[in-house]
Amino acid sequence: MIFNSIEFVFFFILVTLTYFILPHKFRWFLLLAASCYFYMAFVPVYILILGFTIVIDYFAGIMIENAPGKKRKLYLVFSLIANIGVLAIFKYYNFLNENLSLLLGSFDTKNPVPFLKILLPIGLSFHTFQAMSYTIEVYRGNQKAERHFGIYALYVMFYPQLVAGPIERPQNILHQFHEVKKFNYDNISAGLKLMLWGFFKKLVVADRLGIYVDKVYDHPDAHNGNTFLLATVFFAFQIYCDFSGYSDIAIGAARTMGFKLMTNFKSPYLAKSISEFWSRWHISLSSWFTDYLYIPLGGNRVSVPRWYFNLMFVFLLSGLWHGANWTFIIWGGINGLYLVLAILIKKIKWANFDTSPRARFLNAKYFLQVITTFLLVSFAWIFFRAKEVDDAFFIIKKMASFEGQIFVPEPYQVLYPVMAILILLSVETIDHYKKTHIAFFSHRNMAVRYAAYLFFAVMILLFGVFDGGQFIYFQF
Amino acid sequence: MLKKLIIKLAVFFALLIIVDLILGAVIRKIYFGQNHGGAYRITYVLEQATPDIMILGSSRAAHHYIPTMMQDSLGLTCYNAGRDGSFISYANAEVNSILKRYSPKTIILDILDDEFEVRSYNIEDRVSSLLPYYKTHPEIREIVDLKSPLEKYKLLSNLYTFNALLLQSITGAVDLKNRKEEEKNLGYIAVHEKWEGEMGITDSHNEKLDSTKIKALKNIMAACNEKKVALVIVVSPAFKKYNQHYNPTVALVNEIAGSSKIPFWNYLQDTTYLNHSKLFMDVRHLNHDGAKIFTADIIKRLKAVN
Repeated sequence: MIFNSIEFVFFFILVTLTYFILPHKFRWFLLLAASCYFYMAFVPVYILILGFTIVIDYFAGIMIENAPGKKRKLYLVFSLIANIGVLAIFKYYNFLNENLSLLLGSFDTKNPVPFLKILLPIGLSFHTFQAMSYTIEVYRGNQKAERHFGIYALYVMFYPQLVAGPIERPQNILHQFHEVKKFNYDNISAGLKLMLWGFFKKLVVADRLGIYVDKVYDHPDAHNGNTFLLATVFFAFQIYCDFSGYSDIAIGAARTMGFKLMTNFKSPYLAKSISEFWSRWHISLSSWFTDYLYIPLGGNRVSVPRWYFNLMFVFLLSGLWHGANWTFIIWGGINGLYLVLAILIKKIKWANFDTSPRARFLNAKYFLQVITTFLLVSFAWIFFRAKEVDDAFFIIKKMASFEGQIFVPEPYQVLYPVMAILILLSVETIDHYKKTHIAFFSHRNMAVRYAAYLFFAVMILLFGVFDGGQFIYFQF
Repeated sequence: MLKKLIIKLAVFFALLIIVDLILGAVIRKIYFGQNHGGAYRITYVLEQATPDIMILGSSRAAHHYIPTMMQDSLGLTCYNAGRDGSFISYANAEVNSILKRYSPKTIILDILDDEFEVRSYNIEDRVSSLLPYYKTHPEIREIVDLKSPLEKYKLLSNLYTFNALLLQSITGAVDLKNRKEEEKNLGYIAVHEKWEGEMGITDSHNEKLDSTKIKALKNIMAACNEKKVALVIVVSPAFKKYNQHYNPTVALVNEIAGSSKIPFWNYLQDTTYLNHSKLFMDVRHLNHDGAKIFTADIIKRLKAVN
């Protein structure tokens, strides 16, 4: 079931209402059953894979906690192998095999290893990473092993964040399932507002932009350099609004029931450097890699070459996490390279300037940095969006020519996206400047608040793309 | 707290219904008050046009067939209803509406080289632009419902009825792209740019075909057969090379059209066009020079058929 469907609206209302009607002791069961239904709306049989890792990690958590000394590590490794094994089979097996075929083919040898005819379970990388964070945290002693099997299963399967995050940590969410959540107007109000904003981002911005981007990127041979420039900028906003829109709906849906999920995006395109961008983009994944890979590798408290290696390694792996394709690996590599280069040229400092939000708002240098960061990030997105590496290089080559009249099939196919981007940027800039979140929705004047709700609801009805398809990040 | 929530939600939805009714009525007035432009052409094709030859299809149809040439040579009235993003399902809706009103002598259906392949991405089909006609044209409902089985409930909203159509409605009055000229050209959109890039390459086809699209083609064929309307299916020229010779769309249409004795003219690898990049505006579309040669060829074949 996808968030941008009428079915989800009914599902959400029913689950939320029933949640508050039921006594606390039955609520975990309701949420777990609802989450199973939500997941099985995609490909029902894949719930067995989830069930497999849930059982393994549940017992692994208890055994890690109870085991003495080195055995703890053994159970942890067992759990990690099970999780990574599932990922490897369903996500990376065919990719590795394909590359093996290419390699052997260059020596005129046929690859004897068969390909698997399997579909990638939806959101596999998300819930696998969330499951792994549980056993790691139990091993580290930061989290007590969960004894209630149903609650542990709910930790992995909680429907709002099951298929595209935020990738939660057990310390943040697990205890919330045990707490008695009372009907709270403020939570419901905040949750619904966030969902409205998320639907705007997804339906009006992301899916509207997607129509143009798909037309251009799916036919690289039919378009010129300037068209690719526009489509690439559009894609930068599309992927942001697609994913952060999902996160907003997920966080909002959870919030209505009183659950607080972690923030996943903080206006990333207002970042003034690549490192700041990564502290604002897909925060739950970035912090996952930081906590469980980058820091254990030594982080930046190592020799400089090793530090560069750590950065590159983590970003290449992050690229691979997104998809079993060289395009994603290169995308990760480019971002890693940006960070390495940023360290190398750190000596070239920008002149000191006031970094308060007000000063930032008015500072030309800040704008220059924001735009440079945006362009660098957008360049990397070319690899993320292109179907093949060859396509990406072909597109870059065309873009470098800065030639041709921009493809405008109909004026509205460009004007609607531009309008949507301008609204998005206006809201985010005001929030950034005022340090608020969707300021109009929490304005002290009731008329302004209602005008804002109506404005976004009307925008969705008039310009939203309904039944526009899945969220991009579901495939990961 | 529950009471507070219910009151606030009730106020919000009451206001939304009022805005929906008022704004929806204003947009409806603008939309159906146009006399030229893209949205006007939809109304014209569905409700008014009665040419002897009706051309249906995507932007390739819009740029490839010159109705004035056809009228002059064949002595029959002609209209080009081709529009960017109008694929087979949309054509199915157009055929349903047209044949409900009258029977043209010939319908030319221009399809894409990969028309029936399952696409991994969502490409906007013009089906959305049929929403304003859902309530008044029962014959297109089955097609619009392909968008979602809940479409009739969504269309309770007046604003949703004009989803993504506001700008078209306004440009129908402002004439941003000189649409009046298009009307003079009977729907044909001339482009004079010449392609200077390389030939496009299609490495492979998706051999998985979309049953909904196949059904749409069969519906069109059956409807034309029932009303004794001559149907011609065309894949017009493209400046593309195909590394995989087997084209599932071409094979499918060959099979279905062949068994019903419906003419199917495939120009994909026709060297008249393939060897001349200057007849194209891009790898998928002919320019005006190309369209003149192509239309002349179509006229010749139509004469031969009749």
